[in-house]
Amino acid sequence: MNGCWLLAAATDSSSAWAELGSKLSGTEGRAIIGWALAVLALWLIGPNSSLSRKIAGAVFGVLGLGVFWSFVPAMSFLPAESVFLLLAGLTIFSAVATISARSPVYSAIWFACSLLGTAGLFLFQGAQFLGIATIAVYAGAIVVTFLFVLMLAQPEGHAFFDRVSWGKSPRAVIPVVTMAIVSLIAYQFGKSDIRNHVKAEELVNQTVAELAGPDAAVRKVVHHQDGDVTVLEVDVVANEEALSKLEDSKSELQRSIGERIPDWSKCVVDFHAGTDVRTADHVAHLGGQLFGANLIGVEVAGCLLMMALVGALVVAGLDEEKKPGATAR
Amino acid sequence: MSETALLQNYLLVGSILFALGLTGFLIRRNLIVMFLCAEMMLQGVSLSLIAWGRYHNDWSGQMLVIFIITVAACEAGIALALVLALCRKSGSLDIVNWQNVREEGRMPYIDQEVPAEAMESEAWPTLTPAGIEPATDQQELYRSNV
Repeated sequence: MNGCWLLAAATDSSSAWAELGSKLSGTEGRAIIGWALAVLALWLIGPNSSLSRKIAGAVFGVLGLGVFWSFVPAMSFLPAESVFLLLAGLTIFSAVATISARSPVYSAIWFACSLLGTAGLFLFQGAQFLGIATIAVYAGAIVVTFLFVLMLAQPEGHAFFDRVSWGKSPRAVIPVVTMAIVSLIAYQFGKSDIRNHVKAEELVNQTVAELAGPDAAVRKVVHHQDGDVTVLEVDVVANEEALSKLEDSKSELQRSIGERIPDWSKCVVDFHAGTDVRTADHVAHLGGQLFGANLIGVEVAGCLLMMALVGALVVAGLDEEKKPGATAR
Repeated sequence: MSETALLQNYLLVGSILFALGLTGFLIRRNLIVMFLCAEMMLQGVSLSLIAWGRYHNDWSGQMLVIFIITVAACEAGIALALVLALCRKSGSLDIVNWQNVREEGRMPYIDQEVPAEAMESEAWPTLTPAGIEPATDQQELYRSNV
């Protein structure tokens, strides 16, 4: 098999290499390469790996992430992109360290770092309340977990079950399955429909930035096919004057979209005056939503918390020990 | 900044976080680490929900994440109580000790080989035992004021 392939490569090397290169740089090829690299990285970074294997795994992991990120478009604004990549890198690196740390103490610390990264990503999305709530709620949970680790696991030092998994083959097969999830999601982003949407959105963004001024913002762009016509619905946060300006220049925008994106040669753009979720008094609006439309959910969540509290006390079995004559376990 | 690009970046981070949590949950055997990995999966889902909420300019994504945090808090309380109870009964955090609740007809899992630690284990801090008189030199005792 291997010899055949080499022979074919030798006889017709230039075209075979070109074909191989085009196959591997295609969407399917890149998805499979990213998958393989991520699986290799997770397999190398095991809890019982030596430092050199961990470093090799980290290199493969970074390469795999790079391949996955070749599927998603850049954010076209360098500071935002770099802050995002920094936070995402912190989150993913700490997550990998959590599952590969040999001692549960380090796992808990790395998980706390991962949570800090996630909270940063929440803030980056404009979800201020959730960013703070994540830190406040989980910090407490992590401190308690940490105490548990110190109490239950520390005295014996490293336990053998922290460095062995369920045998060799499950440890190799599980990353294959889980990384397939990531690979398939990245593969979806490579589809032409989504790429066209991103391209069209950038054109709309440019037009709005040019015509409606810096205060206006495109909040939402959705598209649907109506026969062979692509209808693009755009929600813009802008004043009346800017909206009418945009309406006037619609035909030009439609023409440029049709020229740039061959699949969407017939394109209709509809501008709507939109509202923005990320308002200045974001948290007040969030509270209004929470205690307005979701009031019943809040009550149910409160009941759930109460039941969990009682359940935890029952499960922990604290009252059993106070009974006279209770046998020591 | 393109909203669709932002959404795709976030969905990718969310899916990676979910997949890593799932991996850890399935390959680790320590009860506490498994609990942390379950929380990590919830974080991945929360990231995706917030990204979708912003993309659709809608509050529902953030509402769902608030409820996820609530349920995660309940889960943490019960899970830690369970870990405490299980650890007290079996004497270790290894989940293999609880395999006798498996289905009938399934073979038990037995460790074939336990590899030695790959790296040198770190020196854990120890407490000096209290109340023990140190061994003292006889000549030292003469010079001492005690």
